[in-house]
Amino acid sequence: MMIHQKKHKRFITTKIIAYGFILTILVGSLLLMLPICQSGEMEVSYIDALFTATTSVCVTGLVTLPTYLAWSGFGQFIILILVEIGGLGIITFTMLFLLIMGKKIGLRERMLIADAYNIDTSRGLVILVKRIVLGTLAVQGVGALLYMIVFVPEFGVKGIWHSIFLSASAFCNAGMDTMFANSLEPYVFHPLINFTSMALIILGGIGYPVWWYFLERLRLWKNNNFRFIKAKSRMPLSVKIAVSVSLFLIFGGMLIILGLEYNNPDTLGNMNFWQKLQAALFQSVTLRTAGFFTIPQENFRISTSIVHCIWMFIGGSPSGTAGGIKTTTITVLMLTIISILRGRDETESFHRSISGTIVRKAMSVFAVSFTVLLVSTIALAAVQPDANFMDCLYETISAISTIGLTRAFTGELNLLGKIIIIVTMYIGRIGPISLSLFFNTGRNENLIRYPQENVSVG
Amino acid sequence: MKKKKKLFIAARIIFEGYLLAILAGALLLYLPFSQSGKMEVDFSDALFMAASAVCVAGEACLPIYAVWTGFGQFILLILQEIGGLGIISFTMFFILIMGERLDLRQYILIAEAYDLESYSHIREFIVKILKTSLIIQLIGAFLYAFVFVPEYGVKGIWHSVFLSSSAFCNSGLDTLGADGLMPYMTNSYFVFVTIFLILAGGLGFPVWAFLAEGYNNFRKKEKRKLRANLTVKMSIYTGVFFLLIGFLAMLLFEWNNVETMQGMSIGQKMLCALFLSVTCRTAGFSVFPWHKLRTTSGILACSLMYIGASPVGTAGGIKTTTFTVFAASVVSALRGRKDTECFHRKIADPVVRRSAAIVMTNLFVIIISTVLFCAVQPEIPLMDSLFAVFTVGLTDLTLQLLNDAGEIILVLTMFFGRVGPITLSMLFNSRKNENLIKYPQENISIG
Repeated sequence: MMIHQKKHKRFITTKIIAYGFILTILVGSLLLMLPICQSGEMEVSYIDALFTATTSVCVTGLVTLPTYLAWSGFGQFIILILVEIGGLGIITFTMLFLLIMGKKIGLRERMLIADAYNIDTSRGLVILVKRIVLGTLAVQGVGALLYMIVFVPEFGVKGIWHSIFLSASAFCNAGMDTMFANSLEPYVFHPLINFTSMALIILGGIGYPVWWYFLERLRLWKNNNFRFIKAKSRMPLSVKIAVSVSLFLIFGGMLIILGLEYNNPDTLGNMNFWQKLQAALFQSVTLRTAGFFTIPQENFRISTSIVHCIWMFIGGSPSGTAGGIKTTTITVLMLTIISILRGRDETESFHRSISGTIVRKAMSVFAVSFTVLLVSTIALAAVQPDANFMDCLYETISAISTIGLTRAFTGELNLLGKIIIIVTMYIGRIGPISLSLFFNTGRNENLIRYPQENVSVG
Repeated sequence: MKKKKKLFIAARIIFEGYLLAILAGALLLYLPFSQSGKMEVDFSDALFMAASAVCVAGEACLPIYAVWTGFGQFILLILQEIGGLGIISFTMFFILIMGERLDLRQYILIAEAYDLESYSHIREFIVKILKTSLIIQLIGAFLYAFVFVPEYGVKGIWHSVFLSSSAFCNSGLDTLGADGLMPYMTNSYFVFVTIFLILAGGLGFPVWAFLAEGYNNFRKKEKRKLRANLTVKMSIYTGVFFLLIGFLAMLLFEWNNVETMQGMSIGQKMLCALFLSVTCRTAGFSVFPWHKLRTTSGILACSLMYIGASPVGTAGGIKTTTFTVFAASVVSALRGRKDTECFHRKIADPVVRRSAAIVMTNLFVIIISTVLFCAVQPEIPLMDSLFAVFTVGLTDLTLQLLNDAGEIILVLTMFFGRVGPITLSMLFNSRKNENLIKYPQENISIG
């Protein structure tokens, strides 16, 4: 009976997330169709408005129309709101709305929050939401201030808006900007822009559990409570994996990009060493599902692009603003494979064993994402027969992991191509597990069990 | 502990056997005696050809008909038979021929290689496998002779024998002209003989045994109902499923492709699509030059090649059963079931874990090889590189640009694909039994 209830609860959360995103996207697209949202310099069809709303809510950042050109200030504001909804998540945003309206947060809502953030207790959940929102605003505020140092002298008053939008976009890992058509390319050598963006992307993508852990540790350290530091500061496995794998992906990615592109004149070839290092680092960080770029993606070599694809597919850490299958998932998979090949009975990590349920969940996430990726790539290649395979793959991975990097291909999408990318972005945002529960009727079927039989494999 | 040691020995023999076959084959192919002298052959080319034949990948970096003499081609034939029938059955074959009695160790090896549960009928089992393989290939060669003998005269017999073996072993090499099988695609008799051979090889011995039993029952008019075990069920259902998917998708994707099917009659289109689907059960004969296919068909061909055909047959890939078990485990997990279930049977956890390891490891190895291949051959487009790495075939552009580094990466990938991750892992954790230590469990958030 317990299992049944838990399943039922999970089912409701999933439904709210899945329908909530659809509703937000539809409302957003209708708002963007209003004349007041459009600058009038470009003709906007409904599919483009839908695409823009989806890319904002799913914090992807692929755009069919350049944001700075097609939308008015109000339109950009709508996009910003959609990005924040997508970045914080439907549940958190709803709770925030309820709090602002002065409504009481009941047990049901608390259970939803706990479920959305994978927390076992029901204590302190409202505080959690408040903290997440405040923390998010504070980080984005600091980011905006740093950007202003550069943008206000350059753009005048408009620079303030650019800074706010860019900061929100970077923190939510959306990857859109209101300045140019070529992302951050003009700032490829600008350390302040580079490092502010990287910090925002990483902070947004690393996930709230990592924040809590480090804040808690900081608090203990400030109180000089050494006795507790030892007892309470043991890193939870999720945090350990998120931090170590993110670091590995960021710096490993940088080294690989540096190695493969070192003498490619279209990308890093003509830079001095420190510039190369900075550009490679930025490219590696933006693969944590942000989607800004300082080097045109289509100029990278094919080998580098495949590495980009792998990094994008992995994505950020759970319970953050990033997409992808998540660092923890790929780690559990890798460890499982290693433990099987080593002949061990259980999956192990940092001297802890990981339960079979989680291993199966990780495999499902990987397999479903991979299948969706394969199907959408074939579909995209089918409706865009002239497209290059690398461009198609880059585009679909970018969509499913909500990255927003493109090999200059989004602008060439036709109507069917746009629809395929919209659907892929949506599936990528709600996640494969939500997708499957969406189709699951919630019946408890474990009452029947079958006899075992052997199969020869491999 | 004892079982582990046995596995280790089996793994070592498989690994070293294939390695030895490839190296010996490469040396033999490098002999001036094997080469016609019309083209210069590097050792890396000879190595590539030997690996391609032993790993039944069927990628020829040099045109076989022009470069190798009859003797060289004979070596290739032997190598692809070794690859197709498996190294163990081959060693056993020699032992049987020399009249030595099998000792227990060898019995165990065979049982491991063919997933047999008992050791009692191994001798008959091997003889049966070899006999059946030989008969099918002879029938194939005989059927091919009607096409090739009128065209090539006496040389046509050799072409028939080689092609029959190549199709049955799913290797995909041929001794014909520069266009390979492409000129014969209008000949439906030829196409169906080839399809029959490829499928017969890829079906796998468990399915053969099942079919033979069914035939015996039928002949003896026994009313006893024949029950297929899970391996047979999965082999057949999944095989047919992917055959149909491949056929329909190829037909759809290539229907109006000017470079391939545009302008053919409907029957001709269907024949080509069927052959394309069958050849992707890891044979790798080309119907059209691979680079002329659309991107969609290309991705499909690579995916089908990755999955391959049934276990304990001649084909490569991760095998249909592995894929089905993995897919079933994912579906069961998503449906919230505790066990992995398929065809109303539970599949044991170790089998599920093994299949997951095979699926994932092969995927990772292929991705890594693709990155490396693209890094050392930057001028080759991605789709052509994928064709090479997935052993679909080498396109004209790849052949032109292929350098030594690229060849070595492909050889290593093919070798890995042939030996398999499970066998390789057994080599490295031979003696230690590490399951004595168990760690406390901790939760983690996913996805």
